[in-house]
Amino acid sequence: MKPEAFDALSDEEILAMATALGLELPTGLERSFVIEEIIEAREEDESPQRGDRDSALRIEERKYAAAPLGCGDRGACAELEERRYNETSLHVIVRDQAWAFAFWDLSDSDRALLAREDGSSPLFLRVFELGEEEGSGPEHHDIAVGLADGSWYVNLPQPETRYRVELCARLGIKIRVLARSEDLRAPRAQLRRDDSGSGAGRDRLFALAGADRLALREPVEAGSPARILGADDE
Amino acid sequence: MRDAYLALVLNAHLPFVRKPEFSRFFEERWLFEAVSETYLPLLRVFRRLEADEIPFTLTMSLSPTLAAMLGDSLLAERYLGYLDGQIALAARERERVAGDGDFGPLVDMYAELYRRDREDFEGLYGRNLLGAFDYYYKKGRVELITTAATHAFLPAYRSEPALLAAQLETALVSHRASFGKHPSGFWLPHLGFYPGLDRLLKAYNLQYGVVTTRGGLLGDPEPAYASFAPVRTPSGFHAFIRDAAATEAVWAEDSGYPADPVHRDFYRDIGYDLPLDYLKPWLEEAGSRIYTGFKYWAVTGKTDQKRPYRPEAAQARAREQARDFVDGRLELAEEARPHMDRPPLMVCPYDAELFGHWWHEGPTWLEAVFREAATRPGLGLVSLSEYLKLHPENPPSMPEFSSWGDGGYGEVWLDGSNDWLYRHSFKATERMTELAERFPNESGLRERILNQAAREVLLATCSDWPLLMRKGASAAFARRQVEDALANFERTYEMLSANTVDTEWLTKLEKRDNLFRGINYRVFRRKR
Repeated sequence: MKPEAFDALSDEEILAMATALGLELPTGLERSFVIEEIIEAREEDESPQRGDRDSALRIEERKYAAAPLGCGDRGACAELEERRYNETSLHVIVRDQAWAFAFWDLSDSDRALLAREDGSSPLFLRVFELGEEEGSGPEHHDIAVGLADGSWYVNLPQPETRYRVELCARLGIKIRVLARSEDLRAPRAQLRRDDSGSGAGRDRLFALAGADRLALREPVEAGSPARILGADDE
Repeated sequence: MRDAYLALVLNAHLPFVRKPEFSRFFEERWLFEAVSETYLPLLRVFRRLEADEIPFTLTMSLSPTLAAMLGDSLLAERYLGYLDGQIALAARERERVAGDGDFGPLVDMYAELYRRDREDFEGLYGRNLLGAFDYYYKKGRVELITTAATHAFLPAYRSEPALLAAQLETALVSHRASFGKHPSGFWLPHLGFYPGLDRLLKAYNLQYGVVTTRGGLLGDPEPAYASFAPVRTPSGFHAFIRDAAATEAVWAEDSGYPADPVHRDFYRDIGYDLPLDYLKPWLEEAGSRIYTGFKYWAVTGKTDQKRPYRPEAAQARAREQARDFVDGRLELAEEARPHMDRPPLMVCPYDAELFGHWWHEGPTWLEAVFREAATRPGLGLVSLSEYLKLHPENPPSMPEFSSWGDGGYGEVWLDGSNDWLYRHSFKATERMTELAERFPNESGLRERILNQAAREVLLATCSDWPLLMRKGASAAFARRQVEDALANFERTYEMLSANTVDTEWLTKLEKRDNLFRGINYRVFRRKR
């Protein structure tokens, strides 16, 4: 969309368009700057998707071309986002081969118990790597979180590995487990290097099916081991 | 014996949007545009093929929310109003471009589209598009399958069995109510699959679904025929694997068929080109610009200097592309065949709305694919069920967690713009289960409240809303839909907990969110 396309629009129409695009702009911003922001936002809207080479998702989004809305009542939505349920719980959703989304709540009584005079937080997430087999591997790493936090993206360093997450608190020298997730599994991201000889035929079928284009094969030389990133290393 | 099989799979889905409290509501246009530009044109394609005795077979998912809207009399009435508006706009445009050699014929094209849509919708189908698709279902041409009740992204809810069960059971009830049959297959929303989901689907007697190329090839063990045959999971569920090359040919942003320079450009619409005063009668109450559907320019290339659209050239190109597509599939099959002990299968799943709404020439292309395939005896068009009848034994494998979203997993439905909603949808699910357990045998008014509560939980878990929250244009509306459904559920929960009823409010909500008439709140009970 070119700046000239906005010539016929009033200031109110332009502001309504910006609001509908979800742009939060300071009041009194010059018309030309608002127009620039709108053009940029629309270009982002229309830019190609990254990741997989199909545009299925973009087509899905294009089913839903929207008119600019009115003022966009963000107040109520913001309230819902902040809402808590006065119970201690933890849920974890695997997002992709390397990340899971953990979200939790604390009851008022637990929150009171955990409050420290110096304002520091005793809370942390303990991420157990359970290994590929049931009952194997007690390794874990900890991620410090604040009392005001309610969610975190947890790194899952190893594909095809089971994990469990606990919401814990340090109370003096003791550690109290407040909530525990179900076991979750990081998915595989690449084909196994199968040395047992599945055969040239199968390799050819996989190539024809697009395995190489989807970068599903491991590089021939594996290079250095995957660096383990904790979420708080970012 | 065929050299290859081709299975076209279409997913027709829209989220439930129905706002009787407004005289007009912009987002209801999504349905009207899809009916006019995709569903009615597809039915015309089927009619022409049938009339010309061209064999055609495909598998098609009609989502329960879409089916609810297609069966709704208020939305049908509003659709006719939409058509009348489009016909009036065409008349106005005729006056404006009178005598213009480039744009005059295009206005005529749109006038004819909307005139035929009105004739088909009202006259031919009696406003019953579900019946229209059912006709081809009963004739064995279109295998209708179902999908999750509100198209939830199932991997996000894998730890919530009550929600998964509710999505599946409600969908099955809806499908049976619409078409009188239990569906064999299940469209995984966004091709979202995870190991273990197959057991649940099979438990509901659903025999197959489609997974992504990534998910299929990363299966365990690796699929013996790559994507050229389905795999059978340990539960007996069959996962068909999407053909990557067929996907790229159609979906690829810059090189796919819709991106051809002669095809119609989606974005250049008179709604953004012409003066606001001229467009005012066709705009929404806020008076802001919209896509009207009147588009006069060709893709042309990466330039703002678009050329006028030429329909005949574009249709001819679509037919060439159909030949190219069929040739491409046969060439691929020829390369794959020596490594298999059966003809290769290529599974081509697409959103139905790609054909016509997004890609104007899509229905022409689809029709040409069927006509082209009919001239190639080596290529067999099959539905997914038909393939399983031909080849009931398939190599074992469990596909990996995957989807067709960016990155190939779940990132689209779980990022900073939308992750906030899961805390609340999980809680709503938990509370709905609590209600179903607490009130196992209700009837009358309390049953009505419980059923409406169940509807609102399903509406809150629709995957379209987190998808739309990622980008600007519909983000605010999507957030409101989730907020609305969760607030409605919360109110019903409070009413039941306090043993009070606001009957007027309940009745109003039932009349607005009136989908899934046969819903049974007990689907949320814990399975023993």
